[in-house]
Amino acid sequence: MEQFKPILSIETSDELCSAAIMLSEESFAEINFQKKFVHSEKLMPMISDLLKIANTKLEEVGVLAVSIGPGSFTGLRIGLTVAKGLAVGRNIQIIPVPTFDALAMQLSAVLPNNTNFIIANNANINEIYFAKYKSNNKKYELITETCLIDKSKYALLHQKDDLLFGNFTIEKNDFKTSSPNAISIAKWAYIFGKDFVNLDNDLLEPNYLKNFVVHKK
Amino acid sequence: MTILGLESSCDETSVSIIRDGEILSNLISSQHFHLKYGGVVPELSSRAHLQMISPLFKKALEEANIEKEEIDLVSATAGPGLIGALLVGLNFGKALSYSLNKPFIAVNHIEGHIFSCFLMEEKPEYPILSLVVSGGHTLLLLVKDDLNIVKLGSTIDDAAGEAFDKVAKMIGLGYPGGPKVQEYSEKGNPKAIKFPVANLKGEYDFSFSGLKTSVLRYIQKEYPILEKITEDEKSNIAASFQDAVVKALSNNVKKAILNYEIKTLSVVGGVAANKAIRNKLIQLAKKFNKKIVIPDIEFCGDNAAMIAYRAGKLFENNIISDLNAVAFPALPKNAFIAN
Repeated sequence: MEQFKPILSIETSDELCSAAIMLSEESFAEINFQKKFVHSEKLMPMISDLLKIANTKLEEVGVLAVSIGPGSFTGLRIGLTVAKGLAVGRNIQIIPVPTFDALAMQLSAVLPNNTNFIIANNANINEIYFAKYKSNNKKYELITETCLIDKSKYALLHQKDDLLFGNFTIEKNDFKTSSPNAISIAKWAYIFGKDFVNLDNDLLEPNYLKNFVVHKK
Repeated sequence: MTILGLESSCDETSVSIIRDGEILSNLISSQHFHLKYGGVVPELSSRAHLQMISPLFKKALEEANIEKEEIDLVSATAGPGLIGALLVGLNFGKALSYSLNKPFIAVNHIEGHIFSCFLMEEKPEYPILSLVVSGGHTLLLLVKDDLNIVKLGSTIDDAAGEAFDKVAKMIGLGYPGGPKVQEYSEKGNPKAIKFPVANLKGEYDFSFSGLKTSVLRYIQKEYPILEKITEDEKSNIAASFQDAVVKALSNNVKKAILNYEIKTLSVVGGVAANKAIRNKLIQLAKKFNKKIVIPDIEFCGDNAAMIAYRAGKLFENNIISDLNAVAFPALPKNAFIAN
């Protein structure tokens, strides 16, 4: 059997700045910092500390798993830029991990079986990032792929028993968990990342979900 | 010593490798797509930096004909500039330095420009009187040595380059305005229209907002229908405006030469590419018998060679940065203030 190579993972799509190293199927280390605007300052020191704690050298890392979006443009760019910088120095493959799928995987592990749930995060004043899943034996099933929708359309997509996660909350008791922990990014890459191993790191960009429109004054 | 420089503060992604003061590669990828918006769109700029940074790094290694392991020091611009754009170069640099296991230095972009004159064959001697003129900054500085830089004056409103851009827009020359205004000025009469040169409280401060407004008033008064401006008149407006800018800059430079002991005069930054400004400073240096060092045009605009060079100077002075170095959009209030 092929020896497990550590997976270093980064999650910076929202206010949670998270870095993890998956050392085996059972063991990992993770550092989290939940605060606005600290990602650029803290991410690299966090990764450095993490590798120290895990007694692992960067050259021993097999792949770099990065949360690719959707989410904060700046946050995603910080995560991916750091990944590119680390990767190019040691020739490490980067695996882009769909942020909402990784969060769905994390949530499905603890939700009751056959629960329909929505992840919805604010994108801008009018729009939200939206995806719908179903928990199935601790795994997630995709119902509606991640997309950008108008806030006014949300009510049409929300069925009665759907649980809502994310920072687009309508009721006080909704769950505000809006991004996964970095270890879920690593686990997603471990399970689904095999298709990505020949990607050119240089071509990777965050999943912005739509073109940026310049409004003329 | 082999130093990698990264620059991404505005609309140019640049990667440079210098070795013992010699430039092995200095690649600049300019984001021309901003032209159609009449100015730099920050989000688009950040996206383009992220696309370019890694390929450009590989290309720079190739051109310098070195392996990445030969890099001894990694440096990147930390500010001032567009924050989203800065974050790309800075974070790529921090991660790369960690990955290569080499020290990292976060460089102040303005200091990069100041020291760009050291990239020339003719080396400046301290103390240097340095005029920094770009799209975002206008500063007059006394550079005493590698680390002691004192601000004598700065603009209280628009930067010189900003005024060029705005005036170019007013007479329909397009963006970026600097080269266009210069081109038209060459055909015009600088004495045709008398535009004002600000007289300010701060002895070495600058102001270009009044000049800009005065150009606007002139155009509004003389040409209620903008399309009727002839090419000749555009040239005269450009030449007269440029002449006023040169006067404003050189007046303060002259005062500083008279009041401070300096050996070298230098003008740096994007607007230092302007011929009239270069010529005027060369004249002043001759008149007062000072050495003059002005970077070649390719080192006036934003480039990573100047960042790498500045990082080398800091390293010689035992200054290095931590992995928690942050980007800063504006020049800190206490920057270049004498203790």
